Parts: sequence; C-alpha cells; structure tokens
Amino acid sequence: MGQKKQRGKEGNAANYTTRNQALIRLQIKLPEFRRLCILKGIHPREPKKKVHGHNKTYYHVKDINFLLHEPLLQKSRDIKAHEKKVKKARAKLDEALADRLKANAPKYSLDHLVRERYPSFIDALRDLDDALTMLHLFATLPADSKHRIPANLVQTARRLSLEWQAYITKTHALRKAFVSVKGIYYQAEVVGQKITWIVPHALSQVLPEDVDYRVMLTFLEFYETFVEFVNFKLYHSLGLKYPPALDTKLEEVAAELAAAVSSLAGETDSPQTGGQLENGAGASGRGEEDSAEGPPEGEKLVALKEKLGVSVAAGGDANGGVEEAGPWGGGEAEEDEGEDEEDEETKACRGLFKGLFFFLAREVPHESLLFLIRAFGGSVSWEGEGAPYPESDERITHQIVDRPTQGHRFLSREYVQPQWVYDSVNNRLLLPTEDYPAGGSLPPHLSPFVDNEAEGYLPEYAEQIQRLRDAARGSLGGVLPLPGGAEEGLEEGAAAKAAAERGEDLAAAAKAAEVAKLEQEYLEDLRKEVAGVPYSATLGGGATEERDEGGAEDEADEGGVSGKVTDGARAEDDDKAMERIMMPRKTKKLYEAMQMGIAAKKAGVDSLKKKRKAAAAGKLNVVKKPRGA
Amino acid sequence: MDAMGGEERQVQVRFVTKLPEEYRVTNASFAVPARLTRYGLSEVINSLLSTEKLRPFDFLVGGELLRTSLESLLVSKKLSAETTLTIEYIPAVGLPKPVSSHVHDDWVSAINGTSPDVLVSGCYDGVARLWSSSGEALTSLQGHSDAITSTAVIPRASGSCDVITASKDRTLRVWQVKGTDSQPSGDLHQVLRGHSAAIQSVVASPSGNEVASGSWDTTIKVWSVSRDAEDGGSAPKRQRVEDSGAAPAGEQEAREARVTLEGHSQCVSAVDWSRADTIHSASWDHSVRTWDVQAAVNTSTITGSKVILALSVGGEGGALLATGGADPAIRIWDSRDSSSTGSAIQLLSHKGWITAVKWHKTRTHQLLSTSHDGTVKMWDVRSKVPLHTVQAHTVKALCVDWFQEATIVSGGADNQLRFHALDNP
Repeated sequence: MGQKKQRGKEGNAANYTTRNQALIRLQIKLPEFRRLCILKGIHPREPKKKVHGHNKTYYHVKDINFLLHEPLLQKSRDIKAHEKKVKKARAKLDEALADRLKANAPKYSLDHLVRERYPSFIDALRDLDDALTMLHLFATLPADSKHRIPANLVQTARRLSLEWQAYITKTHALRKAFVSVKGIYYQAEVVGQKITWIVPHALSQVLPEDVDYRVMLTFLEFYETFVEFVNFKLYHSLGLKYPPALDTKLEEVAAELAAAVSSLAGETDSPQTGGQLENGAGASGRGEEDSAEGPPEGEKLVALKEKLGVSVAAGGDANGGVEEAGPWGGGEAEEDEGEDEEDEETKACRGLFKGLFFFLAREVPHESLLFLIRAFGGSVSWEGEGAPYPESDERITHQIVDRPTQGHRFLSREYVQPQWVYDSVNNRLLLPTEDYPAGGSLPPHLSPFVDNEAEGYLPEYAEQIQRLRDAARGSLGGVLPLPGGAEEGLEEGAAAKAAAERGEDLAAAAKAAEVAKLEQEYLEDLRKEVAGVPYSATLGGGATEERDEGGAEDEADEGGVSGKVTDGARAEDDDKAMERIMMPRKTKKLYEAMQMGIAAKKAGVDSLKKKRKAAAAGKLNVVKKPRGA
Repeated sequence: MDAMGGEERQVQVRFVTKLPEEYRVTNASFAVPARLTRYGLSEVINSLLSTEKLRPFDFLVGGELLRTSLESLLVSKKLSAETTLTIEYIPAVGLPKPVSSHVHDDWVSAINGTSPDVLVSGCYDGVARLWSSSGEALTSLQGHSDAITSTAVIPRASGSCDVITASKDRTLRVWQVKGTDSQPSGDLHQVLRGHSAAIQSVVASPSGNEVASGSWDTTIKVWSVSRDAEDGGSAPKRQRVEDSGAAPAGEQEAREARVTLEGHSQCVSAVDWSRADTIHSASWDHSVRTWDVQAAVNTSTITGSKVILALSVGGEGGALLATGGADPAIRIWDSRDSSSTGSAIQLLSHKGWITAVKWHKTRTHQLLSTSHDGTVKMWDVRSKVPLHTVQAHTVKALCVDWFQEATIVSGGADNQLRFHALDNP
C-alpha cells in the first residue's frame, strides 16, 4: 500500500486549470490574457475529466506557468501603469507632463516570441501558411478606424506580402495557382517546404460585423513580426539586402499608396470606396482597374523585382548588413539554396514562359497575373503608367483579355483569357490558346491541389491535357520545358532514392513471401528428384487433370496441385475473415471506418462517372437533334 | 490464358551446356509444354541422356535460374512464345545434410575455413578451437580475456598456418599452428595491441603478410604479421628478428599497427581484403568504404540506409560486395560501378537481421548467409530464390563459412557449431 492519494494533488485536477484561475494567477484581464495566449501560441485543452465543471475552458498548468515567465506580461503591466500616469497628468491639466510621458511610452517587440516558437527556420516555413494568408488578407483590407484597424499594420502587411511575392518570383519557387471563389490559392516550394496561401480577389472588402477584429489584429501583429523574420532570412540567403530599398520613382508610388490608405482610414464612406464597391459587385474578381492601389501596387512589385535583379548582380555589398540579428543564425545547412543547385522543377518553372511577352488588358487582375507570369519566366506589361512596353509592341506574343470584343486586334499575338495562364502554369505546359478565346466559353478550371490518382477519377479535361503532354513530350523532346522531363530527372535523384528505400521496405514482405513459395516448390521438386521420382510420375491422373486455371505461377504446378490452389484461395479468404474476427474492437472499428471511407470515395467517383456519361449522352442528343431537324 | 483452350501451349527450346561430353544433348530444338518447371525440364534432359539414375539439373534462361514455369517466365520477361528459347543446363546443387554439431560454452561468434585442413571457430568464452574436416575437436587456443569476435587464417608452409583471433579485449593474437595435417598444436606468437575499443573484425591479406582489423573505435588498423624469422628479410625486418630473439620464446610483444585507416564514424563491423592493396570495410554508420592500403586513403564510399553488420567481397571477378545488416535484405553492390546509387541486387528471404554473408572462393555464384532467424541460406546470385535454407540454429545464427569444397559450417547463439555437407556442390 502506498500513501493515500490526496484529492486534487495529481491527475487532471492538478494538471489543468480553468481560465478564471489562470487569470487570477497571472493577475491580468481577459483581453490581455487572450492576446498573450495568441502571441505565445497557447490554446485551451480538453482534459479527460473536467474537474471544475463542464462549461469551463481549461488550460494546461504548465502553459500558464510558461506565461508567468513571459516578459510581455510585465511589459503590459508597465504600459497600463504608464497609461494611468498619462491619464492622471491630463486630469491635472498638466499637458506638458502628459506629452513628455507620452513621448517616453514603454515599447515592446515580439521578436523573442518568433525565436522561441520557431527554433529552426524549417519550423517557421512549415507554419507560414496561415501567416501569409492573414497578411495578404489585411493587405487588401482598408484601414478602418471604426474597427480599429490601424493604417500602419495594413501598410506593413502590404509591404511584407510584396516582399514575399518578390522573393518567390525571384527564385521561381511558385508551383501551383488556383482561382476559387474564396480567392486565389498559391503554392510555392521554399527550402523544400510546400507553402500554400490564399490571396483575396482584388475587390473592395466589406468588413463583416461578427468578426472579432481584436483577435485578428493580435494574430496579424505576430504574423507581421514572424514574416519579417522569414523574409529577412530568405533575402539574405540570396545575398540581398533586407528590407529591399526602393528606387525614387517607386518611393513616390509608395507615398501615393500610403496617402490612399490613410485617406481611406479617415473617411470610410468616401466616393472612392463607393466606386470600388460598385465595381466589385459587377465583376467576378477581375474588376481591378478602378481600385486606387491596383496599378501602383503592380508597379511596386515590378520595381521591387527589378531592384532584386540589380542587387544580385551587384553581389557583395548587400552582405554587409547580414550579420546583425540573423534570427535563425548563420551557418545553417539550408542556407545555400542559391541558383546553382536549383532542382529540375525550378528549372521547368523558370522556363515555362521564357521568351514570351504578355500584355495585360485593363480588365484583368494585374497583381496575380504579374506575379504568376514573372514567376514562370515571362515578360509582362500592362496598360498604364510605368509599363515596360506599350500595347503596340511587336514582341508581344500573348494578350490577356477578358472582354469579348477588342478595339484593335493584332494578328501577331494570341488573345487569351486569364484562365489560360493559370491552367498552363498548373500543367507546366503551354496549352492550346484556341480553348481560351476572348469572349468564348472556357474549359473547366481544374484544381491542381486535387490528386487525381488518389481520387480515382480523372476529369475529361485532365485526360485531354495528359494526351497533349504526352504528345508534346514525344514530338518536341526537350524544346518545351516539360514536367515529364523534370519528373524523370527527379526520379534518378535523391527523391527517387528515398522512395525506392521506402518502397523497398513495403515491398519486402510481399517479395519475401513470393520467394519463400518459389523456394518451397523448388525444394520439394528437388527432393522428389533426388529420391528418384521422375516428373512424369508426379503428374498422377495425366493430361486430363492438368488444366488449372489459377495464376500464371500456379500453371507451373502439376495437375494434382490444381485442387490445392483453389483450396489455397479459399483458405486465404478464410484467413481474412478470421483476421477480421480476431481484431480487437478498436482496430475493427477503425478498419470498418476505413472501409466505409473507401466505399464512400468509390461511390463519389462512380456518381461522377455516371454524370459524365449522362452528360456525354445529352450532348450527343443535342448534336443529333439539329441534324434531324 | 484464353489462347490455351483445349490445346497445351508449347515452347520451342534448345538446350546447351558447358558440361563435359557425356552430359551433352543434341543441339536440335524441342517443343516442350510451356507449363514445365525446372523439375519437368530436368526429366527431359535425363530422358535425352537416358541416365540410369535421375540426376537433377538446374536451368539458366538469359543468365537467370529458372524458378517458375516457362510460361510465366515468358510473361515476366516479355518474350515472344514463337522464338526458340536457349536454355543452359547445369547440375543442380544437392541438398545439404547435417553432419555433426558441437556444443560450446558460449556463443559461437566466428568461423574461418580458409585453411584446407583445419577449421577455426571463435567463441564468446575467449577460446578459439580447431576442428578437423570430419568434425573432431583438435586443439584449443586459450589466451583472450574476453569474447572472440572474429578470426583469420593464413596458410603457411605445408602443415602449418597462422591463426589470428580478434577479441573484445582490444587485442589481436597471432597463433602459430603446426601439424595441421596430423596433430595440430598452437603457440601464441604475437599480441597486437593498439585499438582503443573492442575489435569486431579481422581479415588477412591475400599475400599473408598483413592483417587488417576493424574496431569499435571506428578505425581500421593494418598490422604486419609476416613470419620474417623464417623468410629472412630486409634490414628493418632483421631488426625485429633480433628483437624476437631477445624476447622470451613463445610470446613476442606487440608491434605497432603499420597503418591506421580513419573515416568511419561508427563501429567497423566487417572488413574484407580481396585484392593486394584494397580493403573493403563495412560499418554501423551505414557505409561501405574502399581503402587503398598503400596510400592509406579511402578511395570510394557506398552509403546504404541501414546499419551494416556483414560484408563479403567475391563473386564474379571478385568485385561484388555482399552486405547484410539491420534488415532482412542481403544487398549486393558492384564495386566497379561507382555511378549507381542503389545496390545491384537485393536478396529477400530471411526473416531477421543478417549477421554474416560469405562468397564461395571458386564457385563465384554461390553465397552463404545467416540471420537472426536462425537459418543459414545458400544462394545462387543468378536467382532471387535461395538454393537452400537450413534451419541450423534455434536462436540467432551468428557466423558461417565454407570449409573445404562442400561443407557449410555455422555457429550461433545457441552455442552450437554445426557442419552441413552438400552432396553435389
């Protein structure tokens, strides 16, 4: 017998604490607590036994202790105390003191939290998805005083997202892009990590009332610090200076942008926003030309990229500032992912639009297309200020339009809808432009994030593209930067090695069983033969019995075995049934759930196939009818 | 399968062989049923030769041993059933028969059958024992204070040999054994000290003048063990002769290692010395390294994905590295082909970790392996299916070697040393 256990000394009661208890312990108010939890990445837990009641929020005691040591906690108290002092001075009408105090307000930074939460750079990259999505969202939001969205946060978000996009363009790291109702999904591969983020359509945003902006802004505040660290590291890995300096012309544009943002912050109901709203309601995500920040933004991105090119050429001078405060220190292995060791896929991506000149019409989404085309190695221009070349330029090969009629059509270039760019990028193949005519109906925009093989259903258009790709690979060989080539290249590389090793383990068991069977057969035969029994004697009944319809391997066996083979199959079934019976309940449930999942997936695929068949039949009827009439 | 309604499918075959005249058959091509396996074809050959007693044959198609039916072979190789198949036949390797087994005091961890007269076994009780070809214990070599992990044998002038034993007590001992053809007796000749951790493996050079040892201290050391006392030699060697004269008879105190090869990062689990100045070594750090002894440099490295416990160099041209380790696959690498990243062949049949692999010296296709599943498997590398499997040990089998022409000797953690004879190698 051990000592008697005391109530509340161990187990759930001791490990978990309610939120109120935590507040008392930390001596802070709920909003401050929420903020701290977001910044530190602490979230409520679900203990098995809720000792203090079921309607309470529980936190791990260790998490609360962790918060207790947070320097920000003291900082927030300092700020509060300081605010009181200012208030007191104001109440005493001592404006001079109040102003002086205000000037010396305590400041805080979140740098240490980034370092604490992401010990290695890879960790940070893995967690980048949400941060980028949030930044891109706020980059398109108006700075709104009513919801207390400060202008500087929005501006920083915009700057950081532009920096990120500039980096992706520079390294040609973009892999996938998909336009959905929610926004545009992008996926890039940075230092071997797949990073996916969503950019809202460039429409004026309506701020919904049921969102807690305070929480969002807390997240944003952390994410801005976080992404700045990541950008810093990424830029320095390329030998670029961070933050990238903008040239004078761009500074002006930026100033203009800043003015636009602050004016928006001042008066939300300005005619400008009204115009945006109108425009946004009309178009399906492509009416960007009227929004104040659209074209300058594009220019800014372009200029940023040009700047990047120059700095890389200049080389060393940027490295001067590298040493200071590298968050994920120098000398890490992944640091040198320069251009020399670009993988095959990057090469394929960089070469996709190489030598092509695009021109964006006014009505297409500039920012996304600029980003995409440049990331895949094309040159792009647009209508408006700062465009590299005019619409009349002879070199232009593709004009991206979204209007059925054109004022003047150049015969030397293709007129395609924006979807052509997205589909070409996702398939790493220049698709035939006839399918994307201006004003025509478009082929389905297939998501690159769906793994057709895993789903078990290949849409018709995907099949078509596959055929195109095969044809291109056959006829052109290496002229087009085809993904096929890239994949084959990779297969010979490290990835293939790893896959082979993984496969090795998986296949080993099956292979060993087969080998064992063959060995057994061989040994039995050899034993008989050594004993002096000729093969013909083992045949027994002779030729009539010899037909056995089993697998190719079983044909090798003499006739007498044929009965055994079917027995074997039955035995296998029995074994399976027995295995299922012998499964523990938990495993069985899991197994059944898996089977159900598989069945549901199959049903979905079947229904899709049926639909397709029906649609094909319907189309046929439609075609037939007019013929008959 | 739809083609074979009621009629039996036939395959045109032509038999060729490298066997002497009395085993040759006519060069004409035959039509044989496609469902025939080795067994059926063997009877065809036997009837063609009209032998009295059945003699099992094995068949090679395109350099691979036939283990399935002809039909499934055609399917798997994507060959046309219309063409004439050329099949080479060789005598099948007979079944191994247990001859004798001997109980030791502890795990049997090392076996060496290099000498034509005596077999050397090393045991975890620190004693090396000599065995005759009929399986009798001849003598024992006592001296190590800890388990023997590996042994090497250098045949000397008729009736004598040097036995080198490696031990966990960090020393190598060189024993001079006389009278191996009649009544052998062993004397301790040298103690080689220098490793700072247990020695895991030892191998003698083809010239017989040096041995290489791999150790837990991650180094490989090359020691000179030539019997210069008898040979007479150059000046520095003569110096040592004088030393040996001064030293008390029997034990001669340690010499320094001639060369130390550093490069592995983990225990060197196996070394093999195939050609004059090339050592191959396998290590727990997943790598197999090739060393140039003269220059004492690592000339090439093969990196696998698992800890490697066993290594043997041999096969065709003596250039194939067979390795086994912490998974059930035996991997065979081609040391001449440095470009490929993966192993050339993988043999999968064992159910436990591989503890030892051993090529046959003259029959270059044959390979022995032992595993933690207690079995000894004999392979012909022209097939992925083992020739024979012997459940030699009840627990882990630890070591195996060929002895004389056709004896397989294995030792294991059940303290047994077992002899198996092949009746038709």
